[in-house]
Amino acid sequence: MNAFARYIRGRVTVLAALLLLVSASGAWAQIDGLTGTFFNFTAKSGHIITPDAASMMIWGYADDSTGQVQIPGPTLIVNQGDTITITLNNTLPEPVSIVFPGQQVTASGGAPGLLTQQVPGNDNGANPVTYTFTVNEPGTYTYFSGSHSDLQVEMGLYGALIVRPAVQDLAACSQYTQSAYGDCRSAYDYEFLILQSEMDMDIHQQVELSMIAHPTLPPAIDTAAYHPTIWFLNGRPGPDVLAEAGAAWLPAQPYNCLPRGNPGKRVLARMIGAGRDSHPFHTHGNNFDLIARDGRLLESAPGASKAATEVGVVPDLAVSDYTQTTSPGATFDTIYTWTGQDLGFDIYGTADAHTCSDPACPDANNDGFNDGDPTIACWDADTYEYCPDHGKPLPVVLPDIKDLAFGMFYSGSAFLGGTGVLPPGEGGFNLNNGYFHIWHSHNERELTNNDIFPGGMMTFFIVEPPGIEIQ
Amino acid sequence: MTNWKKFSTIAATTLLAFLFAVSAYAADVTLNLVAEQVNVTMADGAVVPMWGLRDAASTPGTATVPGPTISAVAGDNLIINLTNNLSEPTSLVINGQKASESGAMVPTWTNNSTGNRTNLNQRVRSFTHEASTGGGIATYRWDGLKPGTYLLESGSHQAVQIPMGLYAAVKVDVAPGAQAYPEIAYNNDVVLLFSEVDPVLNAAVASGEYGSSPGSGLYTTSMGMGYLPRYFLINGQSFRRFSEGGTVPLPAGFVNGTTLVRFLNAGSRTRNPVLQGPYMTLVAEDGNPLPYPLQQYSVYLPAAKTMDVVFQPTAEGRLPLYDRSLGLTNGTTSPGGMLTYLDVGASGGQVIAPNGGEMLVSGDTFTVQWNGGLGAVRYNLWYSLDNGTTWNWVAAVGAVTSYDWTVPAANSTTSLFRVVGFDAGDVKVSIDKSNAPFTIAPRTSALLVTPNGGEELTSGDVYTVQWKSPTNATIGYQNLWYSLDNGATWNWIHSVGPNKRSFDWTVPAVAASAPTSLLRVDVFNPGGTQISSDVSDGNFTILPRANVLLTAPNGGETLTSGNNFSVQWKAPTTNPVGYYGLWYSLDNGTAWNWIGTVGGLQTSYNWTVPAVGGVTPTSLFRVRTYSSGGAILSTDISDGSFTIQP
Amino acid sequence: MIRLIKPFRILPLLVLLILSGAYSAEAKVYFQCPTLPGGSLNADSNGDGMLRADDGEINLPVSEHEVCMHLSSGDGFVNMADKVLDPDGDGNGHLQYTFGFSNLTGVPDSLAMETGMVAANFPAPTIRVREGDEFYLTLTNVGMMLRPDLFDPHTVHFHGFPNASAIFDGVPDDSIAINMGSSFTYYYKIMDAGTYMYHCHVEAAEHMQMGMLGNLYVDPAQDGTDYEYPVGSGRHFTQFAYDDGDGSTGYNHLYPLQISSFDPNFHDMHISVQPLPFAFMTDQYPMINGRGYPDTMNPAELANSFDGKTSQKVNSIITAAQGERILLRVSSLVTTNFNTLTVQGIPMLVVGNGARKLGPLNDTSQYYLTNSISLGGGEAMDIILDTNGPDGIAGNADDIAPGTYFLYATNADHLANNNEDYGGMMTEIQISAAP
Repeated sequence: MNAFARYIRGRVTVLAALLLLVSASGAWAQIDGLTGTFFNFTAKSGHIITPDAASMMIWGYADDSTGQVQIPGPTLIVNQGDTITITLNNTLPEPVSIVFPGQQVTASGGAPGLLTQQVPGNDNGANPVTYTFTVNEPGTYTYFSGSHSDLQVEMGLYGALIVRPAVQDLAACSQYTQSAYGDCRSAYDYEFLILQSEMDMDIHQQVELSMIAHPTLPPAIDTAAYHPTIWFLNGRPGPDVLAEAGAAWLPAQPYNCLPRGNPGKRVLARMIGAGRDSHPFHTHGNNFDLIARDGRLLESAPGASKAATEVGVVPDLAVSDYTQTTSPGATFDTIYTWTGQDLGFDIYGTADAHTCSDPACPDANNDGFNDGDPTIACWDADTYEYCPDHGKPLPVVLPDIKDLAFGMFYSGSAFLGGTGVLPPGEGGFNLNNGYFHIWHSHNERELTNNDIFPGGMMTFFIVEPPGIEIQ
Repeated sequence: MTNWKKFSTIAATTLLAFLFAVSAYAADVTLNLVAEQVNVTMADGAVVPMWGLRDAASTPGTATVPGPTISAVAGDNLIINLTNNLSEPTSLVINGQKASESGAMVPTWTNNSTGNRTNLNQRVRSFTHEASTGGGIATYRWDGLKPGTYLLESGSHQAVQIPMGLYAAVKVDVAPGAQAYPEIAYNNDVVLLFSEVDPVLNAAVASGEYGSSPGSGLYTTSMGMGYLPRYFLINGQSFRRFSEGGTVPLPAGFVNGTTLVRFLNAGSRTRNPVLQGPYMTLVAEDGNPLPYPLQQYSVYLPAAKTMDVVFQPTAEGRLPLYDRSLGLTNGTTSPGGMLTYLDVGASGGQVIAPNGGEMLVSGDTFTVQWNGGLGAVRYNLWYSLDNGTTWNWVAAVGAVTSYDWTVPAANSTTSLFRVVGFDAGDVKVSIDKSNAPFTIAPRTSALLVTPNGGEELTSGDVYTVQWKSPTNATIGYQNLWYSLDNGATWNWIHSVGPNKRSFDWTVPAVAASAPTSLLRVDVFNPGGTQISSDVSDGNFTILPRANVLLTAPNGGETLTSGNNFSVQWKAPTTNPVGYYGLWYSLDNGTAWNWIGTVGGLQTSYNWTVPAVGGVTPTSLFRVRTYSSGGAILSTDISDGSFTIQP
Repeated sequence: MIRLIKPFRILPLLVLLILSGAYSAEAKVYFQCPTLPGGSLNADSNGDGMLRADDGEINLPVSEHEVCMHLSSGDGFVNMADKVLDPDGDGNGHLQYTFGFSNLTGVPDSLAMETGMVAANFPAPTIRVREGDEFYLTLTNVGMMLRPDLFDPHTVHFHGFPNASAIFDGVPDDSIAINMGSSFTYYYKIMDAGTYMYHCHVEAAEHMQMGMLGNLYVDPAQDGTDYEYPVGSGRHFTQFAYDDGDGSTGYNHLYPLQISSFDPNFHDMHISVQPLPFAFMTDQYPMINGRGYPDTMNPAELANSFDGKTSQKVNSIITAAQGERILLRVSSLVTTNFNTLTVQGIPMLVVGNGARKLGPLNDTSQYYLTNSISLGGGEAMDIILDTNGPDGIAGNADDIAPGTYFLYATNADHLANNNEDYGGMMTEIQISAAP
């Protein structure tokens, strides 16, 4: 059993539950959050239980409709053109505010702060601040506290803002119904949020001790000496990112991070640098294309596009890469597609009798290429199999199972959707026999939770076999 | 007393040159910079020793961190003569501009050799030639400047010299103040130079502890000890609340104008500046126009990076700009660090500071700031003590947007400042005054400015003592004293008149280093009663002079046979001098001609220039010190040859 | 994208599996380099560290562009560059215990274990393959002799491989990893030129900090084609970073530069069998190609002071003559932080990142000039240094003069080998006069 399996046994029941849900639930490939135009937040303190079973104080924004403090703050999902109003109250012992980089915000109430109006400390509803702005452009944005940010961002006062386009002009790519920016260049089948942050558990302990000793005094913390020891995606460290959204045992961490997709599907990953460090986020399985930064498409002129190797039509300045530096306060929209093209063997194996054919791609001699033009490869219309590789066996002989260590997310087969013999207690967490591709910070120190590997800033992109419902 | 001066600017007036390569119209922009240690008072009051640059032309003055911003025009040739008053050799590089001396930079190695590598153990100390310690001078040249924003940095021992503060901004315009790149025009520009200070590293370098061996418990390297910046600076200053008399907003143009923001990072860590409000258009990186402009509200700014962005303000107001990597503390306190404000005016020519409510003190330097633009190429500056009834002349300045104003002696709560702009045709294009009155309070006590602690002075050198005197009383005379023993005993220097605020002091001779030196100024009224007194905040050091230093003739002079020339030298102070021997050479030192000896107390000699056959440009002078017993103590020769003409 | 591979018929491979009878359920060390019936393997005749059908090193290969390589994974030792400070008091730089790979290609399977033991290289043997290759990479886990208490499996992660399968991606959590004493053969059909990297992905924070890192890059199919670039310059190139269609990524000299760094505390605690400090992992030996400055400039393969084996074989000496172009394939496998690299005095033209050319075929509009690049772990960039300057034209003001230039980290604290000053992440570029 490898370290990952060993380590998360404690949470296996949860994970098992999750993985059952994966096959059934329809609530897995969407971005959870609040919709509407009026929001009421309260900044308050709470606790999370880290995977190493430590209780850590956090500060966060709570949605007043539930009163539950959370990290990250509620993801606001709004529509282009709407005027958004957010009212902020504060129960923390020091002033708190919200800034929305890239938005033209009108703030009223409370007291003047360094970056915007802020709610005084220990205010408890007396002097709320109202932030109002019209979201003129679609895209991915972030918000965070503009008061004592060096401590309050560390404590968890940040969140995501997603603006849906007012118009979806997808006539030229009718297989899609959604896009990030309103046209085919940002069209996608599934979307996921990947909000990255880190925390220094010592600072959180100092804050908690201060609030116990002086509940109404601002904690005096030396944040310049910070040294993060735990890392998060959407407010959860690995492996908790894999558990279902809204898990009852993670009350202050409602969002998960488990991107999934079938072969050939376009997956939009909205990456946000919410902490104070940059993170090199590496996508196993394939390159992605970065299509937008800070909520603006990477285009040389409105509408300019190109066909990207991996994902198809994208803005003409999109950048293909396998690692994205996600820098603090910035947002990065990426599109990722996995097809298995040119692996050199049949990704569905040679055991079963599946065929590979595309009615639009005549291939009488079954060489996988269009008979009319041998440079055009055929793709199976249903499985998205790359026909030139159809029927090719695995080119190498795999070792005997006695010579191998098995991952808990290994299906037992080299093939997508395949199964195989596994020693007792191995594997078992790959219900659909998909390909799990780890997505993680490539500063590997960040794959730990308070000195314990593995964990931290990691999750998996699951290539689910054709026919497995994503949403 | 703080030494950090407001970011000063050297404006280079040159012909307009659109060529990037050397142009027939290229002008030489020549600067004389001095690298020296300076004690910088951080926003939390901590005093950190740093290495800064000083423009020798702006004396009396002190080195600043960052050094003065250098402005030039594309195609100009930039020449910097660097004098090194630091404790190790230093140099200057501008990555992105082509070093022109001998075609390329010639590295200097830790074994003091230069040129290409000759063995496997060599390590580079400097990427180019160096200015040696003890006042050594080196000249750096960049011909045919390329437009853009660049970092001037030390090219020597960067692990130490960059964190110590040896950096400055260089901006090269296609058209000065109007055109940054052939494609990028602007109305106003703002330089934002980000840097960090790890006070532990700086203290270790200043004390000589840096480089200690492991296990000694002393400082080894910042890699070995851990680099932990605690001060986060923009243009040499970290944020301080207005209520603490802190950060002055930066003028950033006006509504519907085009503002160019030049981001530079001289720190060792990546910064992520966020401009809160408008989107920025990224137009150039490291002085290279980007193939396509990008729209972002944040800028990724790694160590040594420069990034130029433009934006068009849509509304009058104050835009926060801060580091989203959260370098927002001063020492251990918050708020602070890399937070500043860009002030957008309704139109050009607006007064930004003083703009009402400020408390100024007579005799202090206050940096007046205003919006440029509207085609103004010069400004007339005025102030009023009576709410604008009468205006007093301050100065006429060129196409700049700030002026270091010495606050006049006054006591007024109804003071205003006025800026009047004129275009090239002398047409008045803007006039604006402070929105509300500010206060000028008299100075009630003396304040010694330099030396104020941390300086290293050398026996026999001339050092400019600076102080401020009370303005609320009539001054009769002022006495200057120095102490070598931390104030236990005071030695008389000089008595100066009531209007003097500086004095060129010949540093006294000491046989050994005097690290506990102080200076004192006493101010008396005409009746002889002492009004006030001030002493250096901290100890400065007076260093002995080990060897004789010939100062004239020192190269470049042209002397005429038969005339008298006053040969000058500085006496060594580590050993008593019995007498000096004097020689001259006509052939670059091959043959030396005996002149004679002079007594050990002399530091000059009235030399009758000898006859020569023809113009002799290879002449040198030599002075040598002897003990009373006749032992040779030290020798110095003219740094360069001088000319003797018949 | 350019496609050169004719679809390969599967029949011969089936024949091989049946006739060669190579497969044994008890397979231990097993270097898989399949051939057609009657085929055989020759020696690595050209010393490129791999067996290539193209080089006549494989008789009757199963693919016209078959390439085979055999790596061991185990432990070993390297010395850091602080030999002047001599922290260990033995006249060498600090000795560091490492995990790593070594090249067993050509070693009989029967000798693979003993050859691979305590022979880890740092960085790992450089893997250079070509677009169109079918790459059979066998990994034999020889175990960690100095840590007999450990039974770690190992893997190879081909970092950046497009459309990877889980089985050959080397991530233990979602795949399989090879145990001590046995071999696993990875198969990669190489389709895309560019700068990649490889490392072990087992307990990545530990195994990568311990040094299981190496250069891996792919030459484009366009190599061998003659392009004049810039057009009219009279300069011709036959080697390129990518299939650019216009010669704009042409070079005369190619140098892979992989930055990495060690935390001596982590390595020292490892060899003394102590709990490993993950939370406080703090690198103090910044390196390029597994060496700190000035060892980066030592042309020799460096032997370690533990057993004298050559374990640091890759220098970072960069040379070119005036008129020539240099391609730097820069990658980072630092496990703790970001590094920013600059070249003082030579503009850097970025032509690719993430194993992709910037911008479309036959289009240079998205290349950009800069003076520094910033890399987190797992990032790579392709940099052209043109001694004719950005315009590519000789004889004008932007030409690069002969002399010594420096490539180094602008993170000033990274210019030291731990407690030894004047070291760290730096190397030199020597430009000579036009021949």
